Amino acid sequence: MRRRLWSMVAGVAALFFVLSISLHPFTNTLQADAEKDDPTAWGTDHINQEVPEYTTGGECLFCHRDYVGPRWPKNLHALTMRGSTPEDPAIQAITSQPNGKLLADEVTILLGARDYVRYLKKLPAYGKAATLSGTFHPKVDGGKLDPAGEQHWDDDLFNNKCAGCHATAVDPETAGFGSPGLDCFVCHGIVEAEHAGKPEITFFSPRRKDAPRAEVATCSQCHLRGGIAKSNGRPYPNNFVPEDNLLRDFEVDFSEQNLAQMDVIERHIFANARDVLVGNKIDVTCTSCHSIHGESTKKHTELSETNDCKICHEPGKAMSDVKLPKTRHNKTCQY
Amino acid sequence: MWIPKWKRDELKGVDSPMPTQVVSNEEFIPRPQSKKQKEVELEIAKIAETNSKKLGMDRRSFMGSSLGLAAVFLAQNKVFGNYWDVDPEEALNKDVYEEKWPKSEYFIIDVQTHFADLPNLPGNFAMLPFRNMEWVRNMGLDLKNSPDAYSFHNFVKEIFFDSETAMCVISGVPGREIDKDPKGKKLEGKDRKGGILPSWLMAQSREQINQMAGSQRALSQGNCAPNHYWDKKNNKPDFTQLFEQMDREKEQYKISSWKWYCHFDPGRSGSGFRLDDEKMTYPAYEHTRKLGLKTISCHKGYASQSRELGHFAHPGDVEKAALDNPDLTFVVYHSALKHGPSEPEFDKGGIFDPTTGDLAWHADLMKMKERNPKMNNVYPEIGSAFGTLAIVHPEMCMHFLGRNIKTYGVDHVIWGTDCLWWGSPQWVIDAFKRFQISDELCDKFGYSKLTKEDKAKIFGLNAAKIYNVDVNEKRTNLPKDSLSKLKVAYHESGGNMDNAAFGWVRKDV
Repeated sequence: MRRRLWSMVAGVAALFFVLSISLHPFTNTLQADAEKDDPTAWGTDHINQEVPEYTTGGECLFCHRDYVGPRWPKNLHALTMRGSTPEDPAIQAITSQPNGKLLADEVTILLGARDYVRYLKKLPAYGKAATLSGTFHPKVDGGKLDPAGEQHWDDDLFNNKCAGCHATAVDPETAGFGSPGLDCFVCHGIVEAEHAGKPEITFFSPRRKDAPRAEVATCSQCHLRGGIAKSNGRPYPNNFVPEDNLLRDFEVDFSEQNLAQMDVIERHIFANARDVLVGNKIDVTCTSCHSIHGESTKKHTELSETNDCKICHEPGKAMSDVKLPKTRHNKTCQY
Repeated sequence: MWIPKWKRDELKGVDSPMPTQVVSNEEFIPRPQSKKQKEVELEIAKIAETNSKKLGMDRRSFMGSSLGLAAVFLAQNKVFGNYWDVDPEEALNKDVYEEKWPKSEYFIIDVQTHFADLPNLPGNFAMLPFRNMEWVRNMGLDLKNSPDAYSFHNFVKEIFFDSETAMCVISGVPGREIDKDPKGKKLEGKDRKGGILPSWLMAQSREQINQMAGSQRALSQGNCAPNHYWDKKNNKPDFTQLFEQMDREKEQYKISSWKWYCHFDPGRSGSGFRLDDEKMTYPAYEHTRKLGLKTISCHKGYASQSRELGHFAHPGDVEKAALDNPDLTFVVYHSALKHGPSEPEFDKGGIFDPTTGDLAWHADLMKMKERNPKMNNVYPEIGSAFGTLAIVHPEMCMHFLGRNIKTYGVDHVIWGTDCLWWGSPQWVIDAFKRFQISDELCDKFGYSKLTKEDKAKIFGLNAAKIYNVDVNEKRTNLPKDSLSKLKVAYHESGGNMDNAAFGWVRKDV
């Protein structure tokens, strides 16, 4: 009796094993189809979780001082928040206001550089900063503060509206940031010490082939301006970590109607992100054209011509004759 | 057209322990060799060819020996001017070298030595940039840059077998240890993380060296610093966690000193820290006292690798901290030199003023002593700064060393090399033995000529006082220990410094 029972158990186990082997490709295909149909199906997320442990940039640059070190302080990604100095034209513009010296002394951080500059001061709470009401326009009338005159500090604006893309490791609960500016973690994610010998384990390493959707999602965490995190309503993703699925929580309007009202720079970002993240067209990603540490877009001239070229280049006109906007505006960023 | 450096050297018959051109690690395009570098290389090759033939040696053995180093200093003198005390006979006769620079003359304690725990690295992937940095190639060092070059076993070989260093302090590289995993489980060893040279690894390696030697050859530092554990809720240091880790490092790791980097933020505090911050750092001093420790070694200067926290590497916080804590010892690493030869503008206006001898940030460290002549607990350390300046810019180096000694006193300048980032420290040791401050600068700036007694203090006697090392006991017993015996066996079996480099250079030069 016992022998018969054992042989039945063994038979069922064998049948289960055979079925699982034979169904494996089928279930895989189903999963792949589901991911193709549902752009939120792939990857992980850290929505409302604790910010993971990560290595801070100073430590990274201890080793990467040779190539990344000299370039990074000048890279626009590193200048999303920068220390203020008395010589900075933005600070001088504040100083020249009535009682401006006192105000200028309070400002410790500047936001932006080329077209619009905002003023910040650190608050006593962890990772919190207040924003001054005025914006400095470096290119208007040789540098203009608008509005001029009396200024006031807003203690909530920066953390709730800006921190996700100007700072690193923003806590989903408090909106306090871990490091000012964009640290290596923002793009490279969690990097283990072993990467020194195995560079391919690092996200965005030149020696690694990243999944196109993961790559574009990482750039899109900040470059899809106008998106909203469903979980907390903030205009930046909730605790995004590279290799996460951005669209699981970050709602973006990819409609033609929305894209049509954008300037060409914004539109090409949205169009490409939509192609890759929603349309699963993976042949062109951000790094096909952009070298991040090198701050170069030279590679885009090597791509074969597609319809996307028409976003910026007009047929029949010189390639150098691009439709770049003279001034740029963005509702999310308040300019 | 690029060509591997070793292949180019083989084709051209070059084998030098010092660089003769820029080598690339594949991340940048190597600069063409300068005319003077080419002259140095040719001169080294000429001396090596002639002298090795005369001595019946193969060229590789010649260049790996003290004769080769002497040849390099001779070649440098011929091209750049007479900066080095070197006799042509030293490149021909080991006895002349050994008679002039006897190995037992100085007791050397190197307070700044590092290695990296990067096991199982593939093939020829060079993961740390130091030995292949552009300026290293420019100054004539030709160092092996394989992954193995930074390993612990190579550390033992290059520090103890290939150099005269008697004792070393394994010095921290920024990083913090994590005590517990998210489930509250206590972590040990690699699970504690802590960067490429964490405190637990320094302690473990120190023990390995001392056990192998049968005597105390190595001391180790601890990385734990005031901003490593952060109470985000109250936005202040988490003193409970901080003190727990400080306790662990003293009791379990048996560290001899802290190694702090004020401009690093591994605890994600959102900022660096100052040595004179009464709320943040002074409680750590108080706990240091409780633990029976008294030495704070702090990286100052060389801040360019930091992001926006580089200003915390300025030595401006040393003065108040030292005055307020006279019972503690502050060893200021790199003597706060702001810019090293890795930076293209390191010798330009605003950074170096030849009319005053001021070097950026270093001058600030000097001025605080001038303001406070009775402040006797600050010790400028010369790791990386001396070796690189000596070869790249001797005049800056004379000011750097001359001013350190003039201001802080020869009994306060501490020997460190930052090796094995820069290979075996022997070339730095040789350089210091041969280095002298010119009569002109001594007359003009009031510097003193370096005597052998001065060099003995800097090489090790000063550090011995800080670390309570009984030099007489060591001088008697170290030559009898196992490490000394192994060193003899190593040299008898033909052991030599390895001059091979594995970067890439331009084929057309």
